[in-house]
Amino acid sequence: MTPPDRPRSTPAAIHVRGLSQELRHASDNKILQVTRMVDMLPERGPADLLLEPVRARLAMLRPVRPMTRLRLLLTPADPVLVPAKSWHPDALTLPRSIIAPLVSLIAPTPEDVRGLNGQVPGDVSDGAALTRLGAPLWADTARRLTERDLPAAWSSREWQAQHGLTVTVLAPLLRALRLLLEQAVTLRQMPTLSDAPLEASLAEVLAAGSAAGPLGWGVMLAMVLGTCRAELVMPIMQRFMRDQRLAGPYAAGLEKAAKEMLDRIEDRIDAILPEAPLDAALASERIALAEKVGGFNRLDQRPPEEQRRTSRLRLKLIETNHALFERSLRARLLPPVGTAVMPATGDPGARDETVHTLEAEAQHLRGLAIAAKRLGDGERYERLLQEAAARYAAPPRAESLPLVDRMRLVELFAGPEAAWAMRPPAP
Amino acid sequence: MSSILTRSWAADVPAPRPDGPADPGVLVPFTAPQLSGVRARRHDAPVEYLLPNLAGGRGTYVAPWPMVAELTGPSLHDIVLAQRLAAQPLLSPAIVREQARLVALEGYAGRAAALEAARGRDSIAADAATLRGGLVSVLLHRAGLDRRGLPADPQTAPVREIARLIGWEPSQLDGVLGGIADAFLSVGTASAPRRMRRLLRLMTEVLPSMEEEQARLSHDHGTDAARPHLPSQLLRRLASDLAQAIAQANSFLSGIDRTLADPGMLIDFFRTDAIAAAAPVAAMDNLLDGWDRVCLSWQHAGTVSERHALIPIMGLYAGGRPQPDGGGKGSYAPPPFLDTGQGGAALISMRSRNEHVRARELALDHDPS
Repeated sequence: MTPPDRPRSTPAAIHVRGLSQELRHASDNKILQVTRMVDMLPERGPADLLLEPVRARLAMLRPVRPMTRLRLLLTPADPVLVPAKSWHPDALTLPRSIIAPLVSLIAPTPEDVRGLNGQVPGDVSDGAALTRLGAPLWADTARRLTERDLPAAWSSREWQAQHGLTVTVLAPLLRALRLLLEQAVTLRQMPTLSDAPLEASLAEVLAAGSAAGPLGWGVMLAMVLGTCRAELVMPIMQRFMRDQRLAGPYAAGLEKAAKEMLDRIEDRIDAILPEAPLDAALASERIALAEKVGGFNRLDQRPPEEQRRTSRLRLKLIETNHALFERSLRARLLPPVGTAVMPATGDPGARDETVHTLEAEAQHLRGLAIAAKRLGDGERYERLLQEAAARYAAPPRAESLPLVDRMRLVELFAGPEAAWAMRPPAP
Repeated sequence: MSSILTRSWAADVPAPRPDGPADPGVLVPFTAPQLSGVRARRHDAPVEYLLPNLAGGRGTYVAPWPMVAELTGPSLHDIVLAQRLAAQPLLSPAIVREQARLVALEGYAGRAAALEAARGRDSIAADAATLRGGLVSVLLHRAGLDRRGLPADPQTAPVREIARLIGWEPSQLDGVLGGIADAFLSVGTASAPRRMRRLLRLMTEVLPSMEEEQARLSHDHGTDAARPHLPSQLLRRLASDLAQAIAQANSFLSGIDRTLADPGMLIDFFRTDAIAAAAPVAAMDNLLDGWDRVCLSWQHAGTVSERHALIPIMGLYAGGRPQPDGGGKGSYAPPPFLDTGQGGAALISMRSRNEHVRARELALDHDPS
């Protein structure tokens, strides 16, 4: 397959590229400001390209962004949508450069385009609510993509140069996107347990994927591996392939999907962590990563190269998570002796707030320790948690944390029995 | 395990017996998610705990606390609460609630719960005085007396005057009025509502939202009998149980209001048989047991995902009593927590959610809103 030409450089594109390069070196605050401004534009067009070089940083910053109908439409494809310049034709991903042609296909009038840029009402921060809002839009768009042929004008050199895509490349990409939209609800509601419902849902999406050609099949496998635990779904996928006698490009698709999943995991492990102590979002991201790596690590009958890579990733994650854990623990819950964790204030509200923060951090840390144990790295965490428990069980004289609050922290660090042992003797 | 635990299948537990239905126990407001829906009962032996669906099957296990603790992993709060319940000669919703309030007051369920428990404690004396004062006012009105015409002491003078009219000792009337105020305190009056009225209002507010979600789930997943959608079925049953509980509670409340509207007759009845006079309140308390946790958990779940995840758990709180149909299709049978694959991190976050809900449950004791 021939890679498409790079998009043609118009003066506007050159200007955007310049600004974009500046943004690459901007502070977090500046990036968030520019993101807010781009989000407020009625029609984003090239302004959206501004954010291209900072998408990885945006993912770490997690700004709250308004949900437009277009963003809702693309949600099912989010895990496999990549910047155009990092996409290559053999990958099980879709370049973001398909968005403009997609919009012109499904929204032929300016009014339709305005509709796509309109904000979606309702709760979109929640997965189930978002599925409910998106389901009709995904089904409708998939139907439109089935009904509409690609315009003849898209075969022109000018159109292809402008969009960086040839029709030969674009057509299977749009078919893969259509498949994702058709299967979006099933994929998003995939049961997470190893039971009959998981097998039934998985069989449905695998059947749809296998009927869509090698790219659709591979993208579907990539989505499934991104959604579910590898150790649960891999055997089901392998069984499906055996039963359906899928080989050749389909077998290669499974290996490629696994490799790309590990690529994504590695990118996330290598991402620079924020300086701030562990918060709820970061804790759940690191726990999810540990689950993913652990899932691959528990697979047997996988190619030796993949097994070696999984072992490497496991060790790397173990080290980064442990460093994050120790830094966060010592930042507030286990500061140097002589530093009180409770501020010297008579304000009960401030004291409640401090206790609340300490408990929340202890919960995140305990969660990370549990995930580490499942990765085979429990001992170092336990030692640190025991150190923290000992500190709260017999605090320095200056520490003014009440007994029950200390018992609750010890419970999180070392379990309820250790906390129960701290109770004062009966009178 | 079988030598220590007594397994009593749901089909056997609620079967009507000549001496009445089996005791379904009282829901204990534990905070560990593994203890969701666990109920306690006590007759002659030590406290028995009824554990739903311990191993993922249908039915109920009956176990003593040491076994419950070993199997489920209670929180520090739960250990303290179980210790307090073990010291109680009887268990009723009111007794379990009071012991749980004291444990929360000490801070074992977190600072927010401790604050709400303290507010509840502070409002009890004032609310009892209000209820008692209301009864006295009605009695004065019925006797054609006016408080303004009585001697200066506003607390004792009306009681003395009424006692004189009915030929009782003032201390005797004072004791009966105090007993009535204690017995009816958890209900309060229409003008000074207390916990059970607040809970009934909450249930009435939550029901439409639950029915709406059930209709949407049915719409999303269809009603194909061949491919039933379990959460949708469970929610239908939960909403139906809630509607039924609201109707029954309203019926109880009408009777209680009629009783409170005639304090003369109530005083006579209470003096003759205090337990029988207060029976409608106890019955209403039993009926509402667990619905506070169902409704507050539902309200606390800010997202559709959270609500869906809660559906099987909520079924255990109130509707999860041993079921007359023996746990057939559509009955509450959630997957056991220890086998959800969610891992310990999820359990920690669920415990935190339970503590939030616990604080809201305690707020029902005082919150006038």
